[in-house]
Amino acid sequence: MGILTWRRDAGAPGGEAAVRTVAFAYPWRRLVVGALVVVLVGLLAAGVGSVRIPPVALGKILASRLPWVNIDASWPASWDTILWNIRLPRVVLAGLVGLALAVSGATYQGLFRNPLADPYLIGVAAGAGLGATVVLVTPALHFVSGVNMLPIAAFLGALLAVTAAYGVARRGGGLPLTTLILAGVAVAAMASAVTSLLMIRSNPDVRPLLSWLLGGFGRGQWRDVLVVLPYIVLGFLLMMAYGRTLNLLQLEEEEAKQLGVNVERAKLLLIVVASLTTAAAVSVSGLIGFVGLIAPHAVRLLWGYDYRSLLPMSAVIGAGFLILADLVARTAVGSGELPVGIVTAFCGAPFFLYLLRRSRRM
Amino acid sequence: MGNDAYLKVSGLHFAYGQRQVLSGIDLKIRRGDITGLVGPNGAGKSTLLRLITGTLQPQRGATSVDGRMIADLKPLERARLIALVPQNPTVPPGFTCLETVLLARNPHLRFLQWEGPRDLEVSRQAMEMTDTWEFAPRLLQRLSGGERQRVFIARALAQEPSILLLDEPTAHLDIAYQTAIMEMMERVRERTGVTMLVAMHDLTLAAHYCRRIAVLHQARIVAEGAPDEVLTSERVSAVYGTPVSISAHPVDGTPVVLPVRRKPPG
Amino acid sequence: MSRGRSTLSVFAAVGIVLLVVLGCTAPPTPTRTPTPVPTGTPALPASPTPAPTLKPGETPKPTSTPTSVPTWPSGPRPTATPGGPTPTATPTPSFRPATPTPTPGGTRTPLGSPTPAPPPIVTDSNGNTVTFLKAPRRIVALDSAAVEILYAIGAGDRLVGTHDFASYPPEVSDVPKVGDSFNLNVEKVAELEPDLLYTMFDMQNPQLEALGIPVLYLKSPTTVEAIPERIRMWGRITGEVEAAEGLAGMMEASFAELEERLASVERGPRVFHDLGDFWTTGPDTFQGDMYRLLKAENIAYDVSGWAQFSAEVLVERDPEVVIATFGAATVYGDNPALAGLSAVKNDRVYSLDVDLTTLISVEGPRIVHGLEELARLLYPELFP
Repeated sequence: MGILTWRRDAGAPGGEAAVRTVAFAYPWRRLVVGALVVVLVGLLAAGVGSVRIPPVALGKILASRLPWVNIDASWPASWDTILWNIRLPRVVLAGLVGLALAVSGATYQGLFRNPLADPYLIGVAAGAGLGATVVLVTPALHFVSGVNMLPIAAFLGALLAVTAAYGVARRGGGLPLTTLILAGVAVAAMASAVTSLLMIRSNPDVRPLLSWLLGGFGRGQWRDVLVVLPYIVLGFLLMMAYGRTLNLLQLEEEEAKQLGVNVERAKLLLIVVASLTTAAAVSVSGLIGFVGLIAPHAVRLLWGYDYRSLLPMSAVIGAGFLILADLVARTAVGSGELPVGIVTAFCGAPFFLYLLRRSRRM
Repeated sequence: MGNDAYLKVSGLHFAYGQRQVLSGIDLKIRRGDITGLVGPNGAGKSTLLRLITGTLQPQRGATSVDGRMIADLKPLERARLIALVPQNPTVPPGFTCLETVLLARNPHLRFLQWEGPRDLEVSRQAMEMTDTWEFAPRLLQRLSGGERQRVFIARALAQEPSILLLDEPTAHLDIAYQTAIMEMMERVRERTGVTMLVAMHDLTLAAHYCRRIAVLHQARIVAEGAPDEVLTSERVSAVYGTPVSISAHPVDGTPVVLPVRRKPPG
Repeated sequence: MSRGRSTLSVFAAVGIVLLVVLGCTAPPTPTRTPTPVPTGTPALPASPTPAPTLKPGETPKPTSTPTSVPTWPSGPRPTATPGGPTPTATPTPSFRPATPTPTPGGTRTPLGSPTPAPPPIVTDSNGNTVTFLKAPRRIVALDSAAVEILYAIGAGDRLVGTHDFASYPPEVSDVPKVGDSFNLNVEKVAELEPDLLYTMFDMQNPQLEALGIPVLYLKSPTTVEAIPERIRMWGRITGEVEAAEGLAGMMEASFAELEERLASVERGPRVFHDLGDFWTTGPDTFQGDMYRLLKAENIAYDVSGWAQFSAEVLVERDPEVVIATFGAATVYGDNPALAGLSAVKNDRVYSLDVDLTTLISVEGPRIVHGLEELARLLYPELFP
């Protein structure tokens, strides 16, 4: 069920309905419907939380923000704060991060021609974790001239790790992908080791660090949304533009070259863009697993393998899934919070097993 | 037109590390011809084809098509000119046959452009020429080897190339499929006039269908010309290192290469 | 086919050999039976302070005999009980009045003659009883609280090894560091030849058992009032009974004084204790108990143990005071969602520096200062 639609010719000779005409349809409908569903899910998620706000009040609070509407505030100020400054930024952030991870995951899977690839493959996660750990165990580094260093350090850590892996793997004019994966594994192992060392040797409580590493949107603010929005949107658009190229890259590199693809340039660009997008996402959310791995597979099951449809629909599914996972994370445990990464793992692992079984039968 | 070389390879040298695979290759192929490229396993037939498409760079020498050096062309221009059906093409999972063939339209599309009616029409014609149009909505991975091979040829044709290179298209196929493929190639040549260079392992099949044969042996083209001139028993035995006997095909007199037992029975 | 079978048999053989080798070299199962008290003359605790000699007719003072039953402090106890197989409900060590062992021959110690102090028995957090026949003279303590207590009761010279992060008192910097409970440098410990290793985690380190080093595992106290008891326990173990009693008494007096000064307070301010990233402590933790003592209302009242608090609930319950450990306070000025909190509006977000954080985290004698500092922050009018 790709993007091509088949019309059967009713009057075909031989009594059989032969496939006579074929038409191309850009997946507008599924994209628009998907986006609407995500927005709906987001609104729903914004309505639920540890503090119970009745739906009528919700509607009023939302409406009161519209410039032409004037409603007397009959609700406690804390509800306004909770909805606008805590829940909505969280939901939007979860949607953005889910989008980023899913699209980057799909891109990596296409680039490396490996269904097990996820956006953390070449060291982004481990590098970000190391950057975050360095800041979190050094209280002096938390804020430098009023700027929160945590996301910056995570972002830089991620980029450094990918650059290191890339530098090791680059050979001649080309970039052998298997070498890149192995280099990424090595860099990630190194970064993880240093992270663990810092954790064990640090005197401050390691719990804040652990909860960051496991991923969460507990400290999400509008400012975080504004900071990552350009990276994620730009990255998304760029990766989408390379949809057909990704289709072509599913052939061996030589075959793609013979069909006119500038393979080396495409590889470099896609790796850079996907890594930047993932790094931006990780810098505000911590290390959330399974979204980048599972969302593309779910899309393949539903809508096929064409990357021009796979990429945008992965974005839709990733965003929706992570919004829901965040909802569970903040409501499952009374007045406490679960790290989102745990929720995604709980959902992701069984789904992954299901995928494996299904692929065996195919 | 006449006897002008359309595809011209001059002085091609190529080495993998220390191993000299091709040395001083000269080849002239006329427009619209089917030329068979034969030689022992590992002689470098695939390498030569890849050099012609431009995905490998030679140490010395050049290839030109209709007077234009392919090294000067951009990858997209080259792809519009030359198409290659590789020996073991990748089967991308989840792609239907039509989607596979449509991939070949890439050289004719701009960066963000989507496939249009013309692309669909070209692909349909390519698939009808190769008797694969009925497979269009089916998944490529579900077809048999022979059927897939035809789809890959359709894909190469959808590039609308002037030169079509095929790397052992009949390997691993039974006699029915072998003849089918060769017949199909004749048909294609008649209808589109595309120039073909086919690397083959089956000398008899090559002799029967190809207008000209080039023999690649020990990094050189040791013979080139009409099949009955090139495929003599002395030459074939020398090149392949095994005794053979050449007969004439009962239908059209093209050489039939027969193996010779070293010790007769009894 | 036969190749597959022979591979299998090779694996099986290797597996069996490994099991046999492991079985032979396994360390003997640790015996956790209480060390038997030998019949006959009970060993006298070798302590610098001799057991009080009694003149005939004199009744022993209750404060200095180890046989006194401890008086439990009054007051509401936290309802959450930490898990553990201890026979007692709380993890504090239990004392049983030691009955004098009958000497062979059935003779009883005549009244009036000095009763040699029976060896202290402590029940660890696994329910095992540990008897101290001799006061330990070479102690490795893997917990800052124990370290501070030992120094405070005059047994600091017995400390021969401690964990990496011990920092108080200053003399401890000269004491060798041996890692921490989960990354123990066993070689170094062996080198120090301790006769007691104290830890607050259930380490289960068979190497220590193999070395014959007695291990005392006691979970850290979860209530403030348990600390003086802990001090008394150390007094008994080391024999520094008077010093321990004095210190414990002083602490209890401080608690009483604090309670007095807070007598006018009916309900203290709503407080949120932020360990970083909204991690907070429930009422069943030590910090939670401190707030109970100070009559402050910990808004994380439904949290058990440690948990990451939801920002929504934080805004809803609107703490009047926020106590943030080192580094955790910056988010309150930074996040617009928290701008509406009473604590932020009234500028009552207090960031504790490293020293103050330690003062309220180490369950030792200095907790008194910690409580005072907290009281000062919570009730600026009452504690200027």
